Amino acid sequence: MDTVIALRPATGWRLLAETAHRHRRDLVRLLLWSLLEAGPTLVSGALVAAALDRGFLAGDLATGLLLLCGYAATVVLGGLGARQAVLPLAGIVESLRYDLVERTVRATLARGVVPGESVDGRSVEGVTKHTEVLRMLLSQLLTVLRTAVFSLVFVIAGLFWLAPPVAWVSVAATVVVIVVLATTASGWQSRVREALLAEERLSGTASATLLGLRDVVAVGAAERATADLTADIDHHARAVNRVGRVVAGRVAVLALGARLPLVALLLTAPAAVSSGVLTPGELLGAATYLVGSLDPALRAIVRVVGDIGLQIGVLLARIQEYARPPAHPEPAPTATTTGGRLVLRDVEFAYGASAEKILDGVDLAIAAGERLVIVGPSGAGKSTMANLLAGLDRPSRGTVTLDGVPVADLDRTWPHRAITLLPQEAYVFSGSVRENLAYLNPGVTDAELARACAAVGADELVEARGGLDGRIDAPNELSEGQKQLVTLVRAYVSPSRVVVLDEATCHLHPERERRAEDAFAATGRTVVIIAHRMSSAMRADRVVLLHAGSPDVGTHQELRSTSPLYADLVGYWHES
Amino acid sequence: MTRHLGDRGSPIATALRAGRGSTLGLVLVSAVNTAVIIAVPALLGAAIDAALERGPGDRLVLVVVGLLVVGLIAESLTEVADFSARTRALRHLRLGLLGHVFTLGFRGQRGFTQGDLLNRLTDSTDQTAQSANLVTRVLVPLLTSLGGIVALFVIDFRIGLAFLLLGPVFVLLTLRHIKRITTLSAEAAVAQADVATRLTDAIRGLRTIRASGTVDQETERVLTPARDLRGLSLSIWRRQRRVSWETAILAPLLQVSVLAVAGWGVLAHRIGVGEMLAASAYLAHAMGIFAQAGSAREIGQLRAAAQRLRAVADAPGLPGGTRPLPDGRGALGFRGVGARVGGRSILRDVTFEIPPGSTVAVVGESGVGKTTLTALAGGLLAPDTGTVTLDGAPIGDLRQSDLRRAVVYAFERPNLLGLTIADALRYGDPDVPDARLRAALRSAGAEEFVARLPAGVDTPLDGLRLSGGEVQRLGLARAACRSARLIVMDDALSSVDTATEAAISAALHVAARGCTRLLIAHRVATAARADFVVWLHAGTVAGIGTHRELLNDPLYRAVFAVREHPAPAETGG
Repeated sequence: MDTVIALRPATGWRLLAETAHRHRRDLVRLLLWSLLEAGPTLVSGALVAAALDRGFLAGDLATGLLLLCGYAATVVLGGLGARQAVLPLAGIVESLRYDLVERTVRATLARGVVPGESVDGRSVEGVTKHTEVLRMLLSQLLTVLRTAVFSLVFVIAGLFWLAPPVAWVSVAATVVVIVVLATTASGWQSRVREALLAEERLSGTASATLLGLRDVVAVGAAERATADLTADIDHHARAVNRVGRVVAGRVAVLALGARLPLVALLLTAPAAVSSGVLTPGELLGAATYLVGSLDPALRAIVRVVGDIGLQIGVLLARIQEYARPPAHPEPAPTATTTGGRLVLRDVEFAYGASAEKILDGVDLAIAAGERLVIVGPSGAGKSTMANLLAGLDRPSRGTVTLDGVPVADLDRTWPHRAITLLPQEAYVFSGSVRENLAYLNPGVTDAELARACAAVGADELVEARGGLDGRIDAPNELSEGQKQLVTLVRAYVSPSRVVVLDEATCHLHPERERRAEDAFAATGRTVVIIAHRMSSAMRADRVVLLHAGSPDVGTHQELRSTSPLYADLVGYWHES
Repeated sequence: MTRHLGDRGSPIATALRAGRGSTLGLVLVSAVNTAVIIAVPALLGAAIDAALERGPGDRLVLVVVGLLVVGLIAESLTEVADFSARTRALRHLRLGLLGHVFTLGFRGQRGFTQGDLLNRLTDSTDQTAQSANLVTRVLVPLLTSLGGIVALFVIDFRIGLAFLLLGPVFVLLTLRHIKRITTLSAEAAVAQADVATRLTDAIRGLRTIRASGTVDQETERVLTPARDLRGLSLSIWRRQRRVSWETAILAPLLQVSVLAVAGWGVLAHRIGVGEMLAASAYLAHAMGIFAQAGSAREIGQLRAAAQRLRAVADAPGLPGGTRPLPDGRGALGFRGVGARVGGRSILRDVTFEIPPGSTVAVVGESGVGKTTLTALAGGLLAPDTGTVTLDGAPIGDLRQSDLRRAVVYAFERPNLLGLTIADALRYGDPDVPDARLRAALRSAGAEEFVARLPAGVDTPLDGLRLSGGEVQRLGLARAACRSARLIVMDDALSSVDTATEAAISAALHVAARGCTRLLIAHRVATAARADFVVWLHAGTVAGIGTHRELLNDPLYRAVFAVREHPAPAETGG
């Protein structure tokens, strides 16, 4: 994946072009004001020359100062241009940043709700760090480029006015520099990309090795790991040095190009002045253009177009990777039902064809209103079971239906939401307490919420947060247990007839856990509990024990006497 | 163990030394470059004046052209030296850091998260490796600016004074500008952090969002602060607009003033036309002094990065001895062993002897120090008091290479490293014969699923999706295929059911012929099958014996009942 990004940065520029197109009026305004901003460059040499020839060298201080004041006036105008150029620039840059953030956020969350797509924290980095850097680079690019390009044009125009032969040399030098740097650009860029790839490879190897640091030390593999990493480190160092050599060559060409016109001026000046072709003032003016404007402008353009352009390309490509919409978006399911009878028929589940089957041939009918508890050792497929029951995953064979409708086809949105799944990791967001509690049922009344809080035991918590209008500014203000209480209330007021609690009470005290589980059962809904503690199983109508092979199903008493694994999980000496 | 980074002073010094010739070359060409930059305007001015006075053919012009060529070469060579010094320093710092990281035991590893170590290995080394570059990047402009100011005074002290009078105005305006922007930037940073937090929360809550069909609503929630951010950023730009105008005209106005003073000098025959050009060029150098404020921050960042490397170098490494491993079959002894981790006493006065070839289960409540005990047994953690012996020799005296061959670990969540399954099992021990590898896979109960993989044991690990139980069994096979005297199993079979666990244990018993096994037991059945149980309670050994003997103690029975009556962890209110 990273390989693709680093090798094809051009794709990212499309994002930029789209924003630029929407802001084309801003772009035009930016160009016009930049023209004014670069104005002082056009007249700098000419006015300095005139100030010398007609003023200071002619013994006329007033004229000299007046002409310099004229230059100062153009500087003030240029400042106005600089001032007016800021807002169009800001509009473009900030819109681009927002566009990228929006695309990334939309695509990340859209991918996150499609099975088989992976979403990780790097998207967050893409949204914040990369867009911020990109915004700074882009404003640098636009700021430097617009003034430098106009400066370059104006310097050459000014030189044509003062000393045409030097102007011709400047044009030739500029063209040579640009042509040489442009033709070597692809070689330079591909070396930079190779260096980036080498760095990514190193950081991938290093990441895997450090993640397994305990294992590397424990199996005595420090030498092997060091050898692997040394190879990557050396590869990276060589790639970077290759970049260095190209950069050195490019710097030499640039420096040569920027200084050649000055050398030409110096070599021809004595003859030109003595023959009267060039006045002393014009000589100074031309030198001012060359030293003060041509050299910096040329360097700025090369730096900006080369380094910053390359960095922007890489960042854009990376952001585009995070802003990639899901490959196979799922249409929102629309079937509805109000029943509560869940049936699993010959269900098999595996993540991929060659992977080990997590569930194999599971047959189970859960009656409407039943309290079913699922237990098993870790890795036995409990969360897979929860996902299948809630319709988040489809079985690789067999069916899971609610009142005859495949659960994966059921509408999950309010008000049709047929099944509510509460995962272990409680999702609480910054907002009001009411918003958080009514998440699954926006139409719920305050009275219903109050009853629900009392039923699952969240009333103290809501009171402590300042009632339903209280704020939760940062979810981390709440403990894990408090977050679970919030989600329990949420599920309690949800319109669903089926509730799946996937270790959703694991951070609660056992007594509170019992109260919450009993409250759900008392509503007459079908309640499936993936148990974190065995005590949940003792309160169940029936217990499903998952393990390799087909699961055991029965009451707590039955399983304790028939299943050694179940007895083991419960701790068998209790009865002996 | 040698301290690769800290043994010869600070990482910055190490970086500078590692660059050797390149660092020296960088300093040299930078010095030449600086000298050229400072000398050129004066000579250029003199050459022009000479040309105006004496006409064509003056040698000064050739000197200037020659200097420009020298400067060009120096500038280009600076790049070569810079890259070379940086990569040499980088390689040295990275290898040094790695060398130390691999000697970090249990204690050192706990001090750094994986992401943190990775950051130090990639970013902090990179920043520190820029030392030589930074020195020249700070010194060259500084010297150039100072040279420029001095030159202004030399040409005509009135020009120097004009600069010194107007310069501070420039500084004040710039500072005011920075101050104004800082407060608004802080607000923007808050909004940006808010976007990140909300997105992170939503990614963590994806399962809820997916199950509730609320993805659109969540997208809006995350984007709300992003819109605020856009508004805040635009107001920063508006501020900037007001100030940019001031700074944009100030620098050229300073130039106009200097030109006016210089022009007056030309008129009064104090200076020549060429010197006026020189003054203009030196003014540009002199103004560079105002841009130097940023280098203090850069130096600060460099020092911070160096300190981060230093912190790793200072983390305690494992003790390493020189004694070869004596003959034996894996007798393990703890004598009065105590250990502290993170300043907290975990174990004290632990004493027991395990005869070679036996299976010993470590039993105790979670957090009592079972993992610490297994780390001590294999020398991943050095005891603070007492001694741990393997076949009679104190573990701290043994050669690390011998010790690592004699003791292997299998973990609850192993990290498989290497290219393929076979490579991962042989990782660090490439001489394991094929037959032994297959036998280990068989006894770890991994043979069947490995055979189903596209290329069997040669299947690449990259892109392979394995369940927790599968990874666990491969981790066990990695331990079982080596010829160790002691196998430590840290909850290494937690993901398999009891029946499978019993089968694997029996198979291992045969495969690991006669080697000692130390395992952490959470299940009653595991403890019941062991030859002995070491029961830990309240930081020390509460009992040693068979499971059946220990069962008489209600406190021992309570260890296994923890699922039924958990300790109150959360009151929820």
